[in-house]
Amino acid sequence: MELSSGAILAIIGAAISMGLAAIASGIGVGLAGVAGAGVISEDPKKFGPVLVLQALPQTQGIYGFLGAVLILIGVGVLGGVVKEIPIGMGYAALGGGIVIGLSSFTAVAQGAIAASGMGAVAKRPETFGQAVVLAVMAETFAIFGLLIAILIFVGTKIMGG
Amino acid sequence: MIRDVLSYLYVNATVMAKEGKFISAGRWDDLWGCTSPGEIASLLEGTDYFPYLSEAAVHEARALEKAILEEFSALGQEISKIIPKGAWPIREYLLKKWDVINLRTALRGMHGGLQKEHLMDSFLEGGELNVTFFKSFLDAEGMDDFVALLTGTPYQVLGEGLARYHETHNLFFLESLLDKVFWEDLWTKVLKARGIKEFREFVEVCVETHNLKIILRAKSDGLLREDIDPFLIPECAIIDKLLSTFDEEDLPGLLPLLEETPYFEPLVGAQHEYERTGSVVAFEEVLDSQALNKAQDIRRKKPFGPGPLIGFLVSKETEVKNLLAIVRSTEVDLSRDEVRESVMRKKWKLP
Amino acid sequence: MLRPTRMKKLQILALEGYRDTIVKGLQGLGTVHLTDYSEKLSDPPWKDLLQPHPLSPHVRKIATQNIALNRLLDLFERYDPEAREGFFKAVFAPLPPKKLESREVFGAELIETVDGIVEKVEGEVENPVKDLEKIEEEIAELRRSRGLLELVLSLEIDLRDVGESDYLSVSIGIAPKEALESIRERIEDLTDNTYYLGARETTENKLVTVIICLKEHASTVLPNLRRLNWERIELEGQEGKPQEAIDSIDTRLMELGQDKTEKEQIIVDAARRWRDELKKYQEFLMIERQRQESQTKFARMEHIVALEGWIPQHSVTRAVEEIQGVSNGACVVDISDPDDKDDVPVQLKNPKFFKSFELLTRLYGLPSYNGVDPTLFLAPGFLLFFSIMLTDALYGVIALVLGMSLIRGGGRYNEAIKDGGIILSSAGVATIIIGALSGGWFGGFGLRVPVLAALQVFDPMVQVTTFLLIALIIGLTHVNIGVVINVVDRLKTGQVWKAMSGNLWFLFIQPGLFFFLTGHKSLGYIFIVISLMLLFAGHKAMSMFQVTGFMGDILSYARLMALGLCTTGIAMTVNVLAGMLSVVGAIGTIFAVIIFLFGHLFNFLINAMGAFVHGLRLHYVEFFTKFYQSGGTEFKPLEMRFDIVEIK
Repeated sequence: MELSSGAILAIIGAAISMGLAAIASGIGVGLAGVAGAGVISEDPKKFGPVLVLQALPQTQGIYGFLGAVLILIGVGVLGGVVKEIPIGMGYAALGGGIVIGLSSFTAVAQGAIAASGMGAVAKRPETFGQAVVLAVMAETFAIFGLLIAILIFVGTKIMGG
Repeated sequence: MIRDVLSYLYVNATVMAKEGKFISAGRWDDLWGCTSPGEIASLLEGTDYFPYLSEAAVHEARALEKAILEEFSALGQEISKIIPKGAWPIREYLLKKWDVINLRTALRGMHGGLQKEHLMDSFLEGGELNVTFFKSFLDAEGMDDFVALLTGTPYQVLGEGLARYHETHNLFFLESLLDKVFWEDLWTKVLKARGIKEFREFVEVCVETHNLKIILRAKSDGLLREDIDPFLIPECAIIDKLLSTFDEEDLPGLLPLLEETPYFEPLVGAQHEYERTGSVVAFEEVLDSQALNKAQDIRRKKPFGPGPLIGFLVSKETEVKNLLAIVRSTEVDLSRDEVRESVMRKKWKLP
Repeated sequence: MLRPTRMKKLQILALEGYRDTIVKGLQGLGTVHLTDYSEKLSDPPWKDLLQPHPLSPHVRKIATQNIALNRLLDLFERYDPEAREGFFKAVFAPLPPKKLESREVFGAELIETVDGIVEKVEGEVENPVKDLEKIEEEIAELRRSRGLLELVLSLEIDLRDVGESDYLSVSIGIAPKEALESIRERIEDLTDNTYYLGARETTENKLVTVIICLKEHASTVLPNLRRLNWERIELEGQEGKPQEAIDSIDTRLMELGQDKTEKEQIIVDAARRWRDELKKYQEFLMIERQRQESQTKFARMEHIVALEGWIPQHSVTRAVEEIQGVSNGACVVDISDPDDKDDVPVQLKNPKFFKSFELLTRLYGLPSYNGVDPTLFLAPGFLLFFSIMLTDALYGVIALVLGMSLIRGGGRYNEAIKDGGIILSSAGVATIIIGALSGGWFGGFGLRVPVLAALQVFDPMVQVTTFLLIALIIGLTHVNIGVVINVVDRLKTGQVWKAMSGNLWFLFIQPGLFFFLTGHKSLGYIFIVISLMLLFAGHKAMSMFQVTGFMGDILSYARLMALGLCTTGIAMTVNVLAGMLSVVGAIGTIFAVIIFLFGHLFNFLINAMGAFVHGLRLHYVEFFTKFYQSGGTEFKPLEMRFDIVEIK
C-alpha cells in the first residue's frame, strides 16, 4: 500500500503523541509508585489513598493515547481505508502530536508531587484532599496541550472533517 | 535532578509513614505521669515499640529500656538497607552509632562495676563490630585492660584519656573520646562524599557542638589548652578564636568570642542557669538541642532530598531519648512534673 | 442556610457536689462542645480567681482497667481469632454489626463490676497461660538445642562426654574456617601442647571443633578463643550421639504439642464465654473516661467548678432545663453570643440530600464559623462537572448501580459509606442524562438503538468547538457565582469596602465588554471604567495578575471538554478494536467481547476517577478561592456514642 507523505507525517504525529506521553507518564507513575511502595511497606491500610495519588500521572498517558487515536481516525488508519492526506494537513497532525507529547511531561512533576503527597498522607491522613489538589495542579498544562491539539485537529479538518 | 529526587523517594515515603506512628502529644502527656514500667509499657501499645516488649519489660525498667533500644536498633538496620547509595555517609552514621552505644554501655559497666550478666545482654546488634566482640570485653579487668582490648579498632585512641580518667575518676573524657572518634571519622567522610551537602551541614553542627562542649567543660574544670587537644576534632573553624585565648579568659569571657556563630545566643541564654547551678550541663543541654534544630531546619528546606530522612532520624532519636528518660525516672521515683521538667529542660522538642 | 449552625456560648458555675451529675447530664444530651478553661487562666481577671481543675483520680484507674481488658481481649484474639469481613463484603454486603443489649452501667458501679469481671476471667485463664508459657519456653529451648545439634551432626561423639570431668574439659564450638590455625597456635601456647583439637567442616565456611584440654587450662583457653571468634556451643545435658539426641528431642516436641493444644482449648472456651462481656465493658469504660477526662478542661475555686462550652442555638432551652434539673437549681447557667475573638466550633447544617456532599467539603477543610458553607453550591456543580467529564449514559448506569449497592450494603451501618453511595449514585443519574444528550452509550455502541439515538442532541466528537464554548461558558458562570457569593456575603456582614474592592470588578467588566462589542460603545465604556477603577483601587500593583488569574481560572474549565472527549474517544477506540476483532471468526468474537467489556470497564474506572478528581479541583481551586474561608474547628460534643452496646 502506498501512503501519501501527508498520511505518513500524521502517523508520525500519532506515534510521537503516544510515545512521549508513555515515557512521561511512565516516569511520573514510577516516581509515585516508588514512594507508594515505601508508604505501604509501613502501613498497608493506606493503599486506597496511595492508589489514587499514583494513578494521577497516568492521565497524561491517556491524553497521548487519545491524541494518537484521533489522528489515526482522522487519517483513516483506524477504520480500514487510509485517506489521501494533503501534506499541510499531515504537518498539522504532526504538530498536534508533538504538543500533546511534550505537554505530557507535566506527568513527571505530577509524579514527584504525588510522591511527596503520599508521604504527607502517610503522616497525616486528613491531608489527602489537599495532596490530590496539589498534584492535579500540575496536570492543567497537559490538558491545555490536549486542548490545543484538538483545536489544531478541528481547525485543519483532521477531526470532524 | 530527577535522579536525586527518585533515589530518596522510597526512603522518604517510608520515614514519613513512620513519623505517622510517632508517639502523639496526648500520649506523651500520659507518659509523663507514669510511675512504673508497667504503665509505660501499656501506653506503648499500638506504637512500634510494642512488639519488642518482653514480659519482663512490664516489671523491670532495665528490660523496658532494652526493648526501646532494640526497636531503635532494628529501625536503624531497616533504614540503612533502603538508604540510597549516594547517601553512604548516613549509613555509616547509622552503623557506627551502635558501636558507640555498645562501647558506652561497656565503659559505664566497667566504670560502675556492673554485673557481667547484666552487661552481657545489654549489647545490641546493629553496629559494625559484632556483639561477640563486645562480650569479650567482659573478661577485661579494670579500665586499662579494657582499653587495651580496643587495640586494632578505631577506638584505640581511648588510651589517651586514661590518665585523665584515673585522675578524676570521671567518665566524661573517655566518653568524649568515643564521640570524637565517631564524629571525626564521619566528618572526614562527609567532606569527601558528594551530593550530600545537607548531611554535611548536620554533621558540621555536631562536630562544632562536640568541640564546644569539650572546651566549656575543660575550662570549668580548670584545664589548660594543651590538655584538651586529644579530645578536639580538627578542621573546625569556629573554635580557633577560643583556643587562641583559651588560657587567658575565664568561662564567661569565652562566650563573647562566639558572637558571630549561631551558638552565641542559646549559650548566653543558658548562662543564667550555669551561674545558678555552677554546672556546665546547662550549656551542654543547649548545645545538644542545636543538632536537632539543624535537622528540622534541613528537613523544611529540602523536602525532596535527604532532608526528611535526616529530620526523621534525629526526631526518632529524640523520641527514644525522651522515652528512656521517662523509663529511668521511674527508677529514681520522680514526680510527673519533675520528669517533664527534666526532659523538657533539655529542649528536646517533641517530634 | 449557607452558614454553619449558629452557636451560643454556655457557661456554668456549679457547686462541686453537682459536678458529676451535670457532666453526666451534658453527656446524655450530646449537644455541648466543651472548651478548655485552662488557656484563659493565666491572664487576669481569671488568674487570681480560678485554678485549673485537677485530673480526676478515676482516669488512671480506668486506664489500668482498660489495659487489663485489652490484655485479655488480645489473649482471646491470639487463640481464638474473630472472623473478619473482607473489604468487598464489608463495603457492599456487610452483616449487621453485633449489638449487645445492656442497661447503662457507670461511675463507681462500673469500676467495681469491671474489677470483678477482670479478676474472674484472669483467674480462669491464669493457669493455662502460665502452662502455655512454660510449654512454649521448653519448645523454644528444644528447638534451639535441635538447631545446635544439627550443626554438630557430623561429630561421632557421645554427648555425655562433653563438659568437665575429673581431669579433662571437653568443649564443642564453631569457628570460621580461616581461624583454625590461629586457634591451634593459641591453644598450643596456653596448654603446653596438652590438648586435642578436632575439626569438621559444616556449611557456610564454618568449622565445628572439639577441644579437649586439661581442666585447669579450660578457664584461660576458652575466653581467649572467644576473641578469635570461636563460639562455644553449649550442649550440656544431652545424651548419646547427636542423631540420637535429636530423635529424643523430636519425641518430646510431639508430647508438648498435644499438651499445648489442650491448654489452648481452655482459653478458647473462656474466649467464647467472656469476649462479648469484656467488649461491652470496654465501651462503657471509654464513655466513662471521656466524661472523667473532660474535667481537665474545667476551672475551679473553693467548692465551685466552672465550665464553658458551645451549644447549638436550637438546643439551648433543653440543655438549660436539663442542667437546672439535675443540679436542683444549685448552679448558674449563662448563655451568651460569641464575640469576634472566639474560636467557635463548626457544625455544618444542610438539607438531607446535600448533607452527604459535606464529605467533599470536609475533604478540603471545614469553613470558618463566620464563613459560607459551600456544600449547597458544591453538590450541583460537582454533579454537573462529573457528568460532563464522564459523558456516557451506560457509565452513568455503572456508577448508579455501584452507588446503590453502597447505600444498600455498607451504607446501612456506616454513614461515610452511605454518603459515598449517595454521591456516586446521584453522579450516576446526572451522567445518564448528560450521556444520553450527547449520545454516549458505551461510546457510539448504543446509538444503533433508534430510541437512544433520538435522544442525542449533541455530538461531542463532531461539535468540538461548541463543546469547548459550552465548557468555558459553564466556567464563566461558575466563577461568577463564586464572586457573587463573596460580594453578597461581605455586604451582609457590613464589609462594604471589602465587597467593592475584592472581585466586584469582574462582575462589571463582563457587561462592559458585552456592550462594547455589541455596538453600545458609550455604555460599554462606563462599565469598563468602573470596573477598572474598582480593580486598581482594590489591587493596586497586583491588578494585572487579577486579570490573568481570572482568565486562567476560566480557561481551566476547558478540562470539562478535554476530559469529556477523552472518555468518548477511548470508548470509541474500544468499540473500533472490538469491531475489528469480531469479523475474524468465533475466537475473534470471544476476544472482541472480552476487549469490549474490559475496555469499557477500564475506561469507566480511569475516567470516573479523573472526573471525580478534576470535578473537585475545579471547586477547590477555581471556585472556593473566590469566597471560601476555611479553618474552622470541628464541633465535637461530649456525647454517649455506643458502637456495640444498645441501652435497654
